[in-house]
This record gives sequence, C-alpha cells and structure tokens, in this order.
Amino acid sequence: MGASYTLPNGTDQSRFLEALLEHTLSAVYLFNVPLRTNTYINRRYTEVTGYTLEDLQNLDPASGGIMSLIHPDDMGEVLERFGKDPAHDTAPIKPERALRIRHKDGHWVWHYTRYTVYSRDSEGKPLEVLGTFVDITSLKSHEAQLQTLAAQNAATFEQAAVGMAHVGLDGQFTKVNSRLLSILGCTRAELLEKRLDDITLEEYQVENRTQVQALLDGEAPDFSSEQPLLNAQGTPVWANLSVTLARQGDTPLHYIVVLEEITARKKIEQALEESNAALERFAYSASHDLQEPLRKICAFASALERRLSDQLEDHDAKFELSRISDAARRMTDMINGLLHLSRYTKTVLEKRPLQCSALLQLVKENLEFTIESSNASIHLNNDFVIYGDSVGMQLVLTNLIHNSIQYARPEVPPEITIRTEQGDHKQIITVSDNGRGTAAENCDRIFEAFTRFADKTITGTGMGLAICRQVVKAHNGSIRAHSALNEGMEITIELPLEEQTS
Amino acid sequence: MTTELARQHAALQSLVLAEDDPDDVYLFRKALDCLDNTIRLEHFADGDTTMDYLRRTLQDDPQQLPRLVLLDLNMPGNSGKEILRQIKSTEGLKRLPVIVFTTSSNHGDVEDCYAMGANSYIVKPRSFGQMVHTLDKFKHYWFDTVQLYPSERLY
Repeated sequence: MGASYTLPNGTDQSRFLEALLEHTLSAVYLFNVPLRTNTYINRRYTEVTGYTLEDLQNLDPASGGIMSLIHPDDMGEVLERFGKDPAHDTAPIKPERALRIRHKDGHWVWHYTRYTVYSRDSEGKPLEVLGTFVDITSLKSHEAQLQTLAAQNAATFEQAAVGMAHVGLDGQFTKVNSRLLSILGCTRAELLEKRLDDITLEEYQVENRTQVQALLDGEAPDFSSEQPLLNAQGTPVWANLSVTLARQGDTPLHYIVVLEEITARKKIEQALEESNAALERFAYSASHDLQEPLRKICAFASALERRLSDQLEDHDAKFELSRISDAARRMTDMINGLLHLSRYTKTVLEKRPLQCSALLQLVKENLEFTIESSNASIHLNNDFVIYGDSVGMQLVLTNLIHNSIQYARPEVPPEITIRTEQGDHKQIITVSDNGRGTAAENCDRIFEAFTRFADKTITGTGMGLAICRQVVKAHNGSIRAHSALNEGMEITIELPLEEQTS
Repeated sequence: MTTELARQHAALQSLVLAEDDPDDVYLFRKALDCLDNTIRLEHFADGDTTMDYLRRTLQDDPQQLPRLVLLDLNMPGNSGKEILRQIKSTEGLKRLPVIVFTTSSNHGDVEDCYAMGANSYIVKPRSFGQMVHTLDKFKHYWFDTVQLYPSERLY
C-alpha cells in the first residue's frame, strides 16, 4: 500500500508552506550551485547559524563563500557527494549525515543534514540544492560525554590494580583485564576460552557453586573467599576472590569477578602459623619432657630424706636435702604452669554457659586448705553466667584467688570480692582484694610469664597471671590490673558478649 | 596347706608390673620394701613381653596368673592402652584386674582407660613418702580387702 502524502482538498498550499517554513525545527535553505551561495533561508536557519541571508551573500567568495562555513574535516565528503550525483537523480543524497557548521559567533555547531537537487540546468547538472538541517549540538555533547565515560570505565577496568573479569551466567569469561592475565599468566585469548571452574581447584568448586547460586537466588549480595586458583601452568596462586552479580532490573546479566593476589600474604601467614605451632609444640614437649627428670629428683630426694631420717644427726645435711626437694617442687609448679600456657594456645575451647557461683564452689574446694588456713573470705557480689571454657575459667579464678591470698598484707585476713557488670557488648568481671597490691607501673608487666615483683620470701612461680591472660585471650577477651602498693589489687577481665548470644 | 594350694596362694600374692622406667621400678621396689611386704613382683619393661608372659601363663598354668596387673601408659612398643585393650579382650584374662599406674593426669587418658575397662587409675606419687603411703593403701585394698572374681583361677 502506497502512503499518501497529499494535503487535504481545499488547503491553501502557499499559506501552508509559509507556516511550515516559519515554524519547523529544521533550518531550510536553497543553494544556488553556480552562484555558490544561498538564495533562500528560513528563520530557523538564522536562529541556529546566526546568519541572515544578506550575511551569507556577503561572505567573501575568495575565501570559499558559504562553503567556508563547513568544517574542513567534513568538507571532503560534501564535495564528493555533489560530484557523484547522477544526472537526473532528484532523490535525497543518502545517508543523511552529521556535519559541523561555523556559527556567526565563530563556534562550531553540529547539524544533522539532508539535501537534494532541486533544479538542474539544461545539461542536467545540479543548479539548485534544497537542504534542511537540524541542530544536534546538545545530542553530540551527550554522546561525547558518554564516550568519555565509557572510555573511563574501560580504563578503570583494564588498568585496575586488581584482576577483574566479567563471567557469563554459563561460567565463561567474557571480559578480562590485564592484571588478571598477569596473575594467571595467560593471554587474553586463552582466558576467554576458559570457564571460572577451569581455574578453580576441585575442592573449592562445590562451595563456589553454592555461593554463586546464593547470588542468583538473591540470598547474598556478594561472596568472597580466599582460595588458590590455577594459573596457566597449573600452579595454584592464592587469591582473594570476590564475586557479585550484575543485574538489569531483575534480570541477571553476568558476574563481576574481582581477584586480588595474596600469595605473599599467605606465605607470611603460613610461616607465622607454622612457627607459632612449632613454638607451642616445643613448649609443650619441653615442659612435658622436663617433668620426667624432675619427678625423679623429687622422688629420689624424698627417698634419701626418708632413708637418712633416722640416722642423720647433721642438721645442715637435712636442711640442704630439704632445699633440693623444695626447689624441685617449685620447678614442678613452673613446668605445670608452662604446660597450662601451651595448652591454652593449642586447644579449641569448649565454651558453654558457666554459673559463676558453681565455678567458685569448685575453686574453693581446690583451694580449701589455703582458704581456711589464711582465714580468707570470698564474696560474690552478684551471681552471673560466664560463657566460657570450664577448665580455663576455673584456672583463671583459682589463680586470682590464690594470688590474693598469697599476697595478702601481713596480719590482715584476705578479703576477695568478685563482681560483674555489663559493658558495651562485653561482660566485665572484677576480682579485687585488700592485699599488698603492686606499684602502678608494674601493672602491665605482671602478666608476663615468670615475672614477679614480690620479695622472695613469698613463694610463687610467676606463671599464674600469665596463664590467666592466656586463657582470657583464648576467649577473645582482655585482662588488666589496677593497683598501688599496699592498696590491694583489682583485676578486670572483659569478655566479648556477642559470642555469648550467638 | 597342700602344695597346690600354696602355689595358688603365692600366685594370689603376686603382681605384674609393666613399667619401662628403671628408676620407677627401683622406687617401686624400695617403697614395697618399706611395707610389711609379702607381695611378689614380676616386672616387665615393655608391653609386648608383659602380654607374652600373661598369654603363656594362661595357656600353661592359669593358676599362676598374678592377682593383678599394674600398667604404665607410656612404654616402648605397644602402649599401655593397647595392652589394656588386649587383656580386656582376651578370654581368660579379661577379669584380671588392671590398675593403670602412670604420670599422666590427663583427663583424656583417665577417660580412655576406664572406658577400656581399667579397674583403677592411679597417678604416680611425686615423693617417695607419698609413694609408700599410696602403695600401702593399694596393698590393703587390692590384696587384703577386695573380693576378686570367684573362680578356679579362671578369669
């Protein structure tokens, strides 16, 4: 069906044409080829170019006349088109194109233009050209902005210091950057042949798929995991892998994969872990093995003591023998302390809710003799629940109470108070006494193993508070002391509370 | 007393000590000497020879099986726990009292040994005086007090 473009009957054609030329968005002109200037322009033409017809006709023909208004870069094509125009063709020259025309003010204005031969001379050469154009400057500037933006995005992607890739929903790499190629040691073409699974170690594949499914299901916004990936040589490279899903509306488009190489960090971490583990093994086996000969010293010294008890009148010899036993006993206590220390860096704690009063009861039974003989009193201000390891927490309380009794002021019966309060996301437990305390400047150092500030007449291993700190640290808590000489000791333990509720 | 009864009585007054540490064996003997001792001590320095002795005795003359076994846990060859397992799973030996006698006060060791059928668990005393004291109580209980499984020495 052919479309009909005729005006309705009775329309005043000249009035219609006048109105159209007056109001159309297009600039319209009639260009006379031999005269090389326009013989007609509409009002819009002046609006977008700044030129009146008179201005145009007064342009200097020597410097190109009206043609000088066309941007030199766009000129060649204009001329070429005119030259190729077949003799009787009145169809528009196609395709329409954008070109720049200089505004009367001097700046360039982008136009979208279309022109056609309007009349020809007797030889059939174009005599007049009818043209229209539309100002597309603002569209062009948007386009330029978009191009800049796209170029910036591409540069960000390509030049990022981390490996980046787009991975299709089928797992295939669709876009990769240089850093990723250098991390994986392969060419762009090689990587674009691969799927994410191809560079993933088998033991991580199930987990990765589960995580990716969670992204697809909208259950998680992203996932990241530290794992070794296979490079081109098939060697694992440690990487921090982060994956998000790009969507348009609700439709998943592709995955965005960010990959950071962490081989160096992993090596340091592993070395540190190994050296810590070796240190713990050493502490454990050293203290374990040291116990054996020590036990013999104790046993033989006491056997000798017993054997000679009836015969030995030499009091010095008896004293000296008793010093051997005593020293061996102290060393045994220290080694037991070391064993506790190394055990609490090793074992995973068995955390459960512990009623403080019940815990305290166990500790009191352990220290029954010490408590009774020192006439100590222990107050639990408010009973509370600690979420922790039973053995460890008993060890902490036992050591603290034992210290309070051991370092009591002479002639003053020890009074020990245990209380608790809830802090910001933490439980604060305070054990305070009325004993000798220590100078304020010692308060940090008393938690170091084998560190003692009391005089030698009070026996002790210097391990008690070190063990307390070890146990509290294993609970992700902190412990500190507050004291002044002869003003008692206050030990404050803080345990994280969020772990208790989870 | 007939000879047979005397033999059986002697067996009932004996114990097997499985212990690899010669110092501990020495101290054990000395501590026994401090008591009014009538106990005969059969010592073996590792698990395998202990097990060989028990099996051979069971086969040759079950009447001569000892009254009980004192078992150290850390020994060369088969560990104390393995010996415990073997005794408790051998017909004819399974009712022989096994008393673990070790330096380990580790909760896990205590649990394991009782779970495997140990009849008692004693941590070796530190001083000689305590050793004598412990052996005295041990002797009173296991040799003078406790009623063993009724048998014709058929454990």
